Amino acid sequence: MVLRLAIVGCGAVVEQFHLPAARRVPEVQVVALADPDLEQARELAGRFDIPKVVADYREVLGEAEAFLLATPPHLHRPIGEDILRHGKPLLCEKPLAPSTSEAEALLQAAHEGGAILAAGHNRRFAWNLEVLRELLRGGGLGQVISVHAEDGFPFNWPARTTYAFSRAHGGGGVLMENGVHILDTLQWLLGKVEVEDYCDDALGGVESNARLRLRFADGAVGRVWVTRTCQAGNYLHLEASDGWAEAPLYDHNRLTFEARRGKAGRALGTVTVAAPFPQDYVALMAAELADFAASVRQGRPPRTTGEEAARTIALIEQAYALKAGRPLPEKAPLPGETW
Amino acid sequence: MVGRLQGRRVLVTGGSGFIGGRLVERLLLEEKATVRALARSPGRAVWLSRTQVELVPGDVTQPESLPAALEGCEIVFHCAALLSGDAEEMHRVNVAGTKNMLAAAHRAGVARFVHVSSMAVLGSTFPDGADETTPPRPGDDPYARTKWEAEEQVFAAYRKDGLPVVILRPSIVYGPRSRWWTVDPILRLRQNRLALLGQGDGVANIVYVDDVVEALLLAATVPGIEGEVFLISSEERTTWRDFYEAYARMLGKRLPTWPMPLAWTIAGLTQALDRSIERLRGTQRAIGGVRLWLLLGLQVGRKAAGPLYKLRRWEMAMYRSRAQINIARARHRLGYRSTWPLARAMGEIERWLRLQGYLPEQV
Repeated sequence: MVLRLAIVGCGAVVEQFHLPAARRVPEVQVVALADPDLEQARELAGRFDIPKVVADYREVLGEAEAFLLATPPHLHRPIGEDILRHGKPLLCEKPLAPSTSEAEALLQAAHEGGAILAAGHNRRFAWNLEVLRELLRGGGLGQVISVHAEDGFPFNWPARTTYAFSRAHGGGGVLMENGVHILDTLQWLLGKVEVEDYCDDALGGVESNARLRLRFADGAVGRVWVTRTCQAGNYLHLEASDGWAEAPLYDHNRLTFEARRGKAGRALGTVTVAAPFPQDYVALMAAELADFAASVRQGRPPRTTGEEAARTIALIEQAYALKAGRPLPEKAPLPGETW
Repeated sequence: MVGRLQGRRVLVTGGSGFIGGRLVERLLLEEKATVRALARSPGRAVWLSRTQVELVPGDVTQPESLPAALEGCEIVFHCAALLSGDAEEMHRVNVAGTKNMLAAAHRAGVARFVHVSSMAVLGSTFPDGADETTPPRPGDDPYARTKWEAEEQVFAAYRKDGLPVVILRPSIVYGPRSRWWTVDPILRLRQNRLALLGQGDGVANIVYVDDVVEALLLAATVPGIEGEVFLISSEERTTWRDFYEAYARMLGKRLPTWPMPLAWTIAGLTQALDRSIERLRGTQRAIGGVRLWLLLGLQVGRKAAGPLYKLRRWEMAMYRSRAQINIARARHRLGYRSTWPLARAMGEIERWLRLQGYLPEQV
């Protein structure tokens, strides 16, 4: 049975990814778009054949079976809470909320409304990371010792609002806006993690470069750099007792690894595997949407639950708390230098 | 000397750019000023959003957006300019935009209008050296020409309206975030697309961005210099070999050398190729048949020119020139002292290039 979905927010992510993705998912039909900017909503509705456009999501609470929330983050709690309390399943774009307290309010509303809350961490559908997760779970690389990730490029997101540059609307800077992806990925792959040390380049505003030192529950250590001022390496590299692996973060179709102890004790050497059916970015969003629809129909948890997404927000808050209270430097550091 | 502008409200145009961005950081952290920046589009505010700057939506080409930005401001630093691109657009931003800013600043009654011009107004070479008395020869380069026409607007506002203006003409500005003189040399070296022309013994009239910012702060605060223009450069005599070899060393590379006459010839050829390609592309009809092959051939030829790809004759003249600009006036009238000789500046630059991933991390 087709899931009748309403999308709240008609910004860049909906235009470029969610609506093109919805066309590829037969289990989902987008029945309405909601945005106070009706002109933009109408334009998208015309282009993607969506039958209804409303300024306020409340107008379609009755007819939609489920919602996708893609507004700026500071609106996730007020809108999301209302939708969930009406018992409607919700797929909420990342970051789940700009703060732990708001994330928890969403979890509470989902609980009270008896509705599924899924978070939009599309990287969990990336082919190479799924393979890497299987490899790690099967013990193919042994015990993970360390991870190193670099994620980012010069900011070029055609956002229609300035939430990405505002703590009040976005909850932070690059760590909240984009770093939330890699932190979710690392928890998904390696389990519970704590922030040991954190620094960023914010000088009273929000950060555009952030560096974290992490410690995982099983003892592995991690180093992460996220940026929106320059081209980072955009990879996740992992060293383990019996090998290593490296996954590009923006080419989901490749994974390189070396398993020193292959079957029958023979080393495999370095192997690069490629996806048999290469994915583009829209495909990740389509997989995410299909998973959400299936979780609603089957009553099972989605791939990224609200609880997991809330833990990532807590991790980011933990990082920001480590920086809070440090006095601003007296001399201007190098642009992008973290402190 | 910090805190010179403590508690004073200043407006910076071009704050999302290379020089204006550094100025905003130092105004806030070191001078403790209250800083406002004119923001053309939110997406460009990625560097500025790190600071406590007050972003005011506006654009120097839209005069109606300027009064709000200037309200309550005592000092204006006009750094906004287009460095390349369409000549008409450059005129609209660099000349008309400056004129708009001057008019708005006059109406707002600002105490100082610091205009960032460029050594480029003097032309690409000045065989007999240059100081502030050297007559400008911007030639037909759109950047130099529009920067000179902007200066004329600034002088006119000083004479006609008594606007308290000060003009700075920095030489070639390099440092963290400089696309042309810091990031590009590294990228080109990495792709083996940078060569030293001739002996590389031409004089590089260069200045580190923090020296320029210091000069801007002096231009805003030193009394009795209204209506004056100052050349700003490093005090050290630096050759192009010194400059580019510093970058090559960061990568552990040797800088290839091209003999000047050969370079001159190839640059002439690449320029001719560029013109032919433009002419072929410029026609409205679909390109096919012989013309398509011709276009492809020309493009292959241009690529083959390697390090000289896009090198212009004026650039070659610049690389050969032995003249150093004279900054005596800035020293005497502004009290300007360059504190960033090449070695010190390149140390900071190398650290920045590593931080931003342009150079491999040191283990």
